[in-house]
Amino acid sequence: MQVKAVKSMKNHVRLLRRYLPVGRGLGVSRTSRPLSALALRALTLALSALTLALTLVGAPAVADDLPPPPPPVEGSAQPPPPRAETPPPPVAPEPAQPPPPPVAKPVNAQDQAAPAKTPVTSNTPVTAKPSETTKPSVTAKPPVTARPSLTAQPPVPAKPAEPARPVVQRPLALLPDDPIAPQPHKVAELPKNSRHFIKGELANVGAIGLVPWENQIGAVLGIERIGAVYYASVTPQINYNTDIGDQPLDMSFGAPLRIQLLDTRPDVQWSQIGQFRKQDWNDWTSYAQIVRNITYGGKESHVYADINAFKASTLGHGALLRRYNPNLDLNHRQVSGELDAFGDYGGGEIYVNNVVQPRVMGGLLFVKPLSFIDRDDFMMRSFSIGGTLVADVDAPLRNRLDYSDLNGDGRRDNQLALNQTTYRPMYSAGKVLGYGLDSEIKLVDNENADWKTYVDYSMLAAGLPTDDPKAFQFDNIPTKYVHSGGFTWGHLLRLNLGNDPVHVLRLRAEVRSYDANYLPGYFDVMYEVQRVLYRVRSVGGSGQSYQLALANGTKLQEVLGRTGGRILGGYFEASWKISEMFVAAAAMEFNDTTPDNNLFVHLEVPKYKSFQFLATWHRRNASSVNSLVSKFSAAENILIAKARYRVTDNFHINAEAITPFGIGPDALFQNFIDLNINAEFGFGYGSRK
Amino acid sequence: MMYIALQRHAAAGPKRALGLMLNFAFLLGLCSCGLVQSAGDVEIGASTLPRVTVSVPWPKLDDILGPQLKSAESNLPIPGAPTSLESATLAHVQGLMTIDGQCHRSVDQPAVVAASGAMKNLHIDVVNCGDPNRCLSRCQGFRGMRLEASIDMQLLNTDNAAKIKKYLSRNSMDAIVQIRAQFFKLMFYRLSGKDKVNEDKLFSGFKLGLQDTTGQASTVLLDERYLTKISPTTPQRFELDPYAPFTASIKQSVLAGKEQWVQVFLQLDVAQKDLYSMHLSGTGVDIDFQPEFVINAIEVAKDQLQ
Repeated sequence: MQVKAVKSMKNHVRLLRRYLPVGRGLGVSRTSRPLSALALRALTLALSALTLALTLVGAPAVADDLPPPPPPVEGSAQPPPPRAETPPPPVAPEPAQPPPPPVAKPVNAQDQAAPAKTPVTSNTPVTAKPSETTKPSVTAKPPVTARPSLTAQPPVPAKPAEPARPVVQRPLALLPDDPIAPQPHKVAELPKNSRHFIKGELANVGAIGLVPWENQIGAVLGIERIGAVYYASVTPQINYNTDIGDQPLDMSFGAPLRIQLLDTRPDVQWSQIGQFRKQDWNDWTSYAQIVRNITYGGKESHVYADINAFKASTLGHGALLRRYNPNLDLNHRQVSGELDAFGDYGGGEIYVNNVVQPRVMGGLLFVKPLSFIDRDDFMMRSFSIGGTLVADVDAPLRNRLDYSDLNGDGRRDNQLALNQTTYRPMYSAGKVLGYGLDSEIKLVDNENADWKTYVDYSMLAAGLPTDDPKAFQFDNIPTKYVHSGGFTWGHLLRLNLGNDPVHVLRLRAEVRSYDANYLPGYFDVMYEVQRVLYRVRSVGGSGQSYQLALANGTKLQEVLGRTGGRILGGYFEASWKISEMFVAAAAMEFNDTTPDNNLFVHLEVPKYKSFQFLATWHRRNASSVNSLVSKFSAAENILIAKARYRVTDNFHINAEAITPFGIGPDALFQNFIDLNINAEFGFGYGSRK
Repeated sequence: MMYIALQRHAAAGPKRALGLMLNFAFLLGLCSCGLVQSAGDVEIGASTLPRVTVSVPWPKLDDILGPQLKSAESNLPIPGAPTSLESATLAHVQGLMTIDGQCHRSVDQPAVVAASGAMKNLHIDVVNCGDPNRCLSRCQGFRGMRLEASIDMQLLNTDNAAKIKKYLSRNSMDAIVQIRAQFFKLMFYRLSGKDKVNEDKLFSGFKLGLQDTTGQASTVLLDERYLTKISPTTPQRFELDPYAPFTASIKQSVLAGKEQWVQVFLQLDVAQKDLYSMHLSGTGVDIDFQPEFVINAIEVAKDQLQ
């Protein structure tokens, strides 16, 4: 039976190859096709995949009755096409020697102002109509006249001195005091002068800043608020971007210097104006904040390394850690670290939320066992089995109340105790451990589509307090071990459509079934806030029930302490990107029981002329799907909007509107909208190699 | 740098430069909104509101039980009982009240001399929570003796109320951000010669709060956890529960510009086992606190109110 299944699988592979005449991997020239042809192919491939699935479960193999594939034609004697995950082979020489790129339409000012757009050069392997005889190798130069219209126009000498740049998703980030910050996820940098299949996150959901694409040295001047205090801030900074190999290396460094303006606590007010904020630099760990980002490669490329002070991160499929941003609590800067690497036989990811003092950390290891059987077949090669481990070793178990009136405002029992230096809540800590197993396989992998399916079973484990919560005991809290689990079946479909511009679509769908005290993506975009108070409160309260909610409302207790039957849920996400001009994304997460229904909408202009823009609205913890769109300004919601406008080459204005999830003077998470503006001065130098 | 930018834009056209300046000013204005809003939270305390300093001696036992220990029912002396209990402990008081069958006894003192602040109507209740317990509803399971005291205090006179109202950023209750008190002294003492000895350890269940003069709406300000922390060198603040009806009634009075009398009440329990150690003669409580209002006063200079 197994032999028959493998045989059937190979027949399917042959069938797929029949419809996939060109290479399937990165670095292989990909061609455009009419949408109708794409639809037909997608249908055929879907049927093929379904047949394959039936074969694997023992159903008659339909494909066995299919005629054999056509005999190999020219090029068939060559080695198999490169794999999807294989690093791209050497590409055609840099356009130092080629003539200026011909373009399909007259170059206008807008085109010149967008150097990141890949110009169609003479050595770009564009084929007018791909056929089965097309050689998959990029080393074979395709005809320059692949698109007749391209040659019909005379060469336009648009910036001939600048080499063509691949489409690079520039990092973005949002932080009120840091208008220049890296992007959470980058698309893998691919060979120049080739249309590459764009993977990875398209939208910068969860990022908190905008990043200039220039190499620049300068400073950002502005006003920012930390806890109860307003500061005038000056952040000298330097950005440097270059390419190493085929991958981008982006670095940004800055040193925030803050001078106190106003302390909103009535006792202090303006009395300490002019004081330097020493807390920013009071121990050796604080010097890590000089690193804004050091990023090499892109998410889902073979090697990706990122040290970052702004980004959101996802581990694997996100069953345990999805879009977690350690810097959503704006009072506390953390520099996270991530290292991804994979090949045909396996790989892994490592993540720490703070490179100096890790608190949330995780790792993913996976193997691709079928690569040992047939590394050339994308299905065999893509099949993987992995294990994930994520932990918060300092998870709030019970929050301390401000009995000692640390901030001197007289609010005690009805307020969280805050460290008056860091403005971070004080709590008794426990540990939350997440671990799981998953497996994935690609169903489709061609120049226009990449479709994978995966299953995941993950678990959460922690200790829950067993004492009387009304006793408000904060030390030596007795606990009992609890654990929970959840199953996820998901699909990820990535499409690259069109050629100029390329429309990139990324669709994800998941079905989930999990225990009442489990939560998919436990370490999520709000975790840094909700770990302290799962039901985020923007208004105060009083009475014992309120105090109980403050003290015992940690995410650990709220989620792992739940009881009830099994929960059914789902997740849909869609992203759409057009070149560097426009990105839109939306996602919805829902279930049939708990108030953990989430939604986000994201719009972004990564770079258009002198303008950058990013806006994300998260609707969090809605009680039902129907209420997802009913409350725009609920306490748990997040709004991040940021724009950067280049007034001159040396002067930018950054404006932002955000819900700053720091804790304010009343020791509650604030959800009012902060409007801020700062000025960015800088001088460019050099350029990306 | 801004100047250079403006110059360049001026070259492109004065309208554009003007537009740039206006946009920049608008955005700066938006930026500073939060700053201005927060700057309006102003504390009104010592310079406006009188500090409350008062020493309340517990009444003499003869005042509680009567100089001749008369029966409350018959108003006749109790046969065999002593004619004065000035040196007795609370255990003796409890015994006599139990014999007499009384749940509690009260003492009223209409005139109160305070070192600072306007006060009147001291009222003290001694509640017998012994066996058999005839005060079940008041004792709520406690066993021993409970002392309750209340005193009327003028929190605001009409001048102060009008002054606060005048500088509120808006005529609504949420413009009064906080009503609180900073305690410099709250000590239960027993005279030992000329010195006052702290007797905090002899009782439990302490709470101090405010209520309206009818005793209907009340809110607890602090409890026994904080007694040992309060001292002249380590003053402690306590906020009135912002969601309590009583707090809302004070805010309403401020908005109406009316004077406000409140009743400071305190309660403490002496457990059965400590009754023999607790004397009432020569004992009392020293209270010293500063009432404070925190208001949102955007349009007023801080100096005008502090």
